[in-house]
Amino acid sequence: MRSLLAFLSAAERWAAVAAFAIMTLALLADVISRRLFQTGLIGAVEIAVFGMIALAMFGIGVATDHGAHLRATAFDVLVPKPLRAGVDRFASLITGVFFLVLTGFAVWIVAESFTLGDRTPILRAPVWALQLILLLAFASNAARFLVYFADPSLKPVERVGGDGPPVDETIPAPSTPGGETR
Amino acid sequence: MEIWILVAAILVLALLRQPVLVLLGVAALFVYAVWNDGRPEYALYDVWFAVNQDVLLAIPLFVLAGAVMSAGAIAERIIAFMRELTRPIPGGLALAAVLSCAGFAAISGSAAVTLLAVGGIMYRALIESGYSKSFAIGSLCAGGVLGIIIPPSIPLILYGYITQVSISQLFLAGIGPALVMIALFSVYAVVRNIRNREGPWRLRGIVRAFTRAGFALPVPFVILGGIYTGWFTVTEAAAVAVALAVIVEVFIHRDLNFVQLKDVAVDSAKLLGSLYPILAFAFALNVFLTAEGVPQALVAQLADVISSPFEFLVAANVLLLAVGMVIDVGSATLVLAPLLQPLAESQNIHPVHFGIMMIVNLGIGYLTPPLGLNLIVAMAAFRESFWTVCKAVLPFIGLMLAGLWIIAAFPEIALFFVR
Repeated sequence: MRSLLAFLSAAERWAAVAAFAIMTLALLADVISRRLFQTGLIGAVEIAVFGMIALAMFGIGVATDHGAHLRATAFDVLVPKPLRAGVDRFASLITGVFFLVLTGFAVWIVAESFTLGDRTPILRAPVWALQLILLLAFASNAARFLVYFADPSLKPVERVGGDGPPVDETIPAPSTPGGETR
Repeated sequence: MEIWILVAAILVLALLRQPVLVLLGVAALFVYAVWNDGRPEYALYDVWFAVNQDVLLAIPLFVLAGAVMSAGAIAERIIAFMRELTRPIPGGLALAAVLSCAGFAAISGSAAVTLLAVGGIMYRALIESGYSKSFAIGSLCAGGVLGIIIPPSIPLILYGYITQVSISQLFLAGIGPALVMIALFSVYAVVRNIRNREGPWRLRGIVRAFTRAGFALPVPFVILGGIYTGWFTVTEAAAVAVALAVIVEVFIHRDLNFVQLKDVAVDSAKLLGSLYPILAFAFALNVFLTAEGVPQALVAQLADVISSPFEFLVAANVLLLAVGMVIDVGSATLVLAPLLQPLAESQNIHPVHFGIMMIVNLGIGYLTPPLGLNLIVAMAAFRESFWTVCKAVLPFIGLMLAGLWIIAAFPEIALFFVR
């Protein structure tokens, strides 16, 4: 399971870096072309958008690897500390199932686009091939969260703002009826 | 009945530590399943449509540009220059802290990044120069919030995207309110620290600091100037910002190498990976709500209750302040802007003015307990208790509320450059 996570992590990190490079280079080429030749590069913006889709979708996995997904932590104080580990494990199962459902819908979307022969407006690329990114991203996150459910020690520490202190360290202890904190 | 099932499900999921993307995703799938002929899969079509739009290209590129400049030594160079420039002014170092935050905010577009980049250097300098700990923490936390008010600002792009308001106009409109906030912070910094003086100007020091920061200082002006003069679109400006950031940090300053650049890109991908799915599901929800005429129905209902723009502004600001205390600014913008903006327009409030006001208001949430991001980041960065940080930001919350009132009461501050 550890090696599966390592593979997914490395693959999506590199995909995200490549997507950034593609986006930036495509848009810069477009700007330079427009300034020098008074005409933009045909399809440059579309390529940049493909890069952005890849970045956005594979970025979900990168954020998962770093425990960086935004979460409303206001309710955490309601969960007693001894139960938090159990709740957190169950939370991984729910998130995993959520991504699994999305993976199923993504399969349907890809199949629909393939059947209909949809193509992008400028470069005429097959839309189903691009939509595969959705499927891969959702499936990889489903796999991650189900692995975290099976072995919670593999789950990354959730951090405030992605880089801050661990979220659980910022949750105050629940108040006792007398008003003191435990 | 169904709506209460949805509300209950969202509350239970929040209690079960689910990320915002799951809450919004479940909400989107639910409304499509219940009110859209039992076809939740169509929500994913809207997700696809949401991320497949070139107007969003500016967000990842501005995030990357800010991250590259944060990872290098630009913050340190800007601070050194501001320190030299403000030496003879009473409370000069405090003023330098505020101006450094403003200068860095114009590059980073992020509140927490601005706090960490400037605070990491300035906090110790302020304490060693005799400024109170309370002022140092408060000013740096509040200065960080300038990151989302001064363009390029990611929340402003999100507001423009979800409400279809021109992002260029929002950026233009951000200048006036940002100046109001900088002025308020600066005056407070000088008045509170009137007895702290560093000494006279040192010509050699100014020249040296300017030389070191010479390539960093013009970057915001090139980016924003390009947008304001119409030379670049917002998206093109974002690509140029990345190119400039890489050229300055990797080739001129040599503060970053390519391995570090890859790590910075991964860090930016992490941030975007947490933002984009929220944006996409919020968009899917918004498409559904708009198709069902929910915002219009809300406008019609509230028109009977709210009879003047003043009443609306008070109600909206109180709501946003409460929401900002518990929800991050990006999620709050994506969920509330499509509902509140039609209400604002029905009260003849300019959508650009309302957008700026909304972001300034939600920005205050960075400083308010229990979940103010800058409070938590400052607590970790400066190794102080949560209570100490909360007390330190109180005067600045007051200043920001005053600034918010000025911005709300005088729309021309935001709209001057737009008209």
